[in-house]
Amino acid sequence: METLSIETKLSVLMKLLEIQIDELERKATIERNLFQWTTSLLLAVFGVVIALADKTAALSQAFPIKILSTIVVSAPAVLSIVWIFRRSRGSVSNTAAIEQIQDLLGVFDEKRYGAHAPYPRRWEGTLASSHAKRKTPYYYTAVIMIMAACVILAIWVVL
Amino acid sequence: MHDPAKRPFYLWVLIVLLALFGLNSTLRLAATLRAWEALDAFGTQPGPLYLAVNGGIFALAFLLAVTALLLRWRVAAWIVRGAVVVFALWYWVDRLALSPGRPAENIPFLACLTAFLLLFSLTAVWVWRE
Repeated sequence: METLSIETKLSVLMKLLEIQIDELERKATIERNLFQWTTSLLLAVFGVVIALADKTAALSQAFPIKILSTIVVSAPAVLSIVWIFRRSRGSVSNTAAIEQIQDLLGVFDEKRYGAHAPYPRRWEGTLASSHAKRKTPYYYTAVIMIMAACVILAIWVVL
Repeated sequence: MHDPAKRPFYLWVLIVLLALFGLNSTLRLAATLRAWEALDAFGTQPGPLYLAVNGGIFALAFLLAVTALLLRWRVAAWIVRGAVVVFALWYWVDRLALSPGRPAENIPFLACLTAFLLLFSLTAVWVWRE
């Protein structure tokens, strides 16, 4: 099998790097959008709860309505948290691929680039591990859970 | 792809909320100014001056926050944080200490609403700035 030239290898690596970075950004955007849509949905439900305050108390099905409303609020919140963490875990494999490509490009190796390497040696092998420890999905989860708890409490207090 | 130049939907919801709170404060100021003499004559506590001053301050604060978000000022996030946190604190101090005559049965619901709106506002500017 014919060996690829240095230029071809470089262009393949650059393309793969671009794909992995785009994928990483796309997953972060999806995470953020899921969070925004979930909290906006919770805000809308809170608005509905305020609009319906004291109007369902006289109904004979008030208790089933409250149970159903609690499920309607909890289900999207839980699903959204699950999806956020799924995206977050998936993005760790993208950072591992980026690290591997950077290693092949020798961006930490001073010998390949003359006096200075593009990146300092201390950055080598830290991208995937630091990305795996990022706190943003946990912050998103905490906010969604507190907001959902507020809405559910409001449903049981005023509906 | 995330476009930092485009305001997310989430931020528009926050802008509308802040504008509504600003409108509410403006209406409180206008109503106090219109009924000043009557409020004074009936000896309402804490008095029309208090109602007018807090209505004016919060109307200005929310208007400033909306303007800062629309014009993308660098300090917009801090203005929003300041306005919503001070408003929430003032609301509860006013309710519990300065206006003791109000009914207490809605306290759990209002606590939920305050926590929810505070969290929504603070996270909206956090996500926008991230």
